[in-house]
Amino acid sequence: MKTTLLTKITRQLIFFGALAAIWEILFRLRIWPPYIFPSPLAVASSLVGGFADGSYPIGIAVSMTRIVIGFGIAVLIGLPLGLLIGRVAFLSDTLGSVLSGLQTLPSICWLPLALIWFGLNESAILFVVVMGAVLAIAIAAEGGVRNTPPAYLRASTNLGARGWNLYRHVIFPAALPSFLTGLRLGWSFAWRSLMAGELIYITLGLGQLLAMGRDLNDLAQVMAVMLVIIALGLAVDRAVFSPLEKSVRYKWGLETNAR
Amino acid sequence: MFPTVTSAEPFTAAHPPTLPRKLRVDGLTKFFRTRRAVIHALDNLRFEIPRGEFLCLLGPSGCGKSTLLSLIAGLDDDFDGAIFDDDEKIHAPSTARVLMFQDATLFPWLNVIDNVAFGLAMQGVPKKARYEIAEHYLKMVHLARFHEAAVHELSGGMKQRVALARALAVDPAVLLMDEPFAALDAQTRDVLHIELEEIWARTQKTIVFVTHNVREAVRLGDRVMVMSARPGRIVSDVPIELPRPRAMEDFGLVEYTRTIGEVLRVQVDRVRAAERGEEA
Repeated sequence: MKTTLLTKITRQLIFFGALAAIWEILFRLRIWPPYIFPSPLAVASSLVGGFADGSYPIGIAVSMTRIVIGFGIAVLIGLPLGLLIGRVAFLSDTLGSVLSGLQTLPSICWLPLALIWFGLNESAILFVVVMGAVLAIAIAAEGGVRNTPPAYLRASTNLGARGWNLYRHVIFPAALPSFLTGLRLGWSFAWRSLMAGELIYITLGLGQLLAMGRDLNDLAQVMAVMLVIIALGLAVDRAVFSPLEKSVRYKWGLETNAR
Repeated sequence: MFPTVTSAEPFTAAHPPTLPRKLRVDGLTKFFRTRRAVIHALDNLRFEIPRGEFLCLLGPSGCGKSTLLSLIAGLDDDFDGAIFDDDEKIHAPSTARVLMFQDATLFPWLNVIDNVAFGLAMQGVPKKARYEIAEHYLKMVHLARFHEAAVHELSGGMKQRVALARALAVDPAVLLMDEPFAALDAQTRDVLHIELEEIWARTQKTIVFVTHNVREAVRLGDRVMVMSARPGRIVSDVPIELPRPRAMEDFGLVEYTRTIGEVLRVQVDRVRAAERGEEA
């Protein structure tokens, strides 16, 4: 059965309304004291207050600036690196295995090293963000370049594509769906490492607001900031990466129905 | 002699047609070596295809028809014997011999006109000139209105038309077609048979057309060759002496279909018997 957008929204409203109601009931039963289990209203007012006093907008702006710069650097390094590794057998045997090894390391583990190299400043956090995203991007790009559908290769070499032309006009565009998957994955890794980094050490930003909530024993603020982080993560994925990836996969004939 | 199919407009290629050539397959033998086994795909094939001929190749599944086409295209140079394009030995792909597949393999990142112009772009033909040529061939396959369309917007039949225009745009002497219409419905296939026949008459290409469909082979071919079960050999080579244009229902066509179909059935039965033997 097809559901219209309106019924979908209605369902979601009912679902989240019920969730808030259960939360409120649990709060009123006083099973836990309010400083452990705040009411939905307290969280909401914290949210409004945070936006009103400017601390959330500043936090959001700082975090978004960091991730945009860090992610941008990761793309600039990761894409060419992946393409090179996918193309040159020597690099794939050597660097390729290093990359897949490093990929298993949660990128926040780079923070101690970054703090010693760069000091407690923006460069350290950017380094962690870049390390979070660059590997996922490079590995996806490598896979995309290596797994060009053979049919495209046959058709294009038959029509005279050779050397650099083959890469530029066939192999790279054919790898676009993989590139986009890598970007999406890289973004979510970068976002997680940024939050972890801000939470532990770096001033300002959303992670810092979380840490501050804990220091003040203000659980309503902690939850409110968590909601902001979830909302931002979802918004970027739903507004940028997901539609881009879906539309390319559809056009490339990899998915049968576009949404 | 070419069969006479007259077309309303005279042939006005955007660039002069190259003279189609003679293809000669001389003692062609092909093995596939996999980790587990050596497969004898083609065995000592020997035949000629005169310029401008429409040759149809029939054979049971897995008899090496498609392999033969890729070898003629030059996409695989690991074989014994030789294939000559005129007197030149084939060892690499060339735009003189373009292969078309059951799947149109259009490039989804390019729109229709850029797909058709792809081969010319690879040759470094300037944009304006290559679009002119591409438009010419798009018109030939009756898709001039769709030059800006995206690949995913086209139907299966339209995709094959674009693939045909893309192949023709580099002006090959030989078109190698590997079951190009097998995935299409019967109506679309009928239309494409008519169009392909017209285009063949206008451009005087040599066409080697692989199919499973005996009637399609007889409908289109000047000559129909039947290959045996693996290893592929030529078991029958029949000139089709029927006037063109032909229709699927023509009496003579049905007669040829019956005769050639019997030859093919023997080979298909051999494959089935072999399969049953392996299972037992």
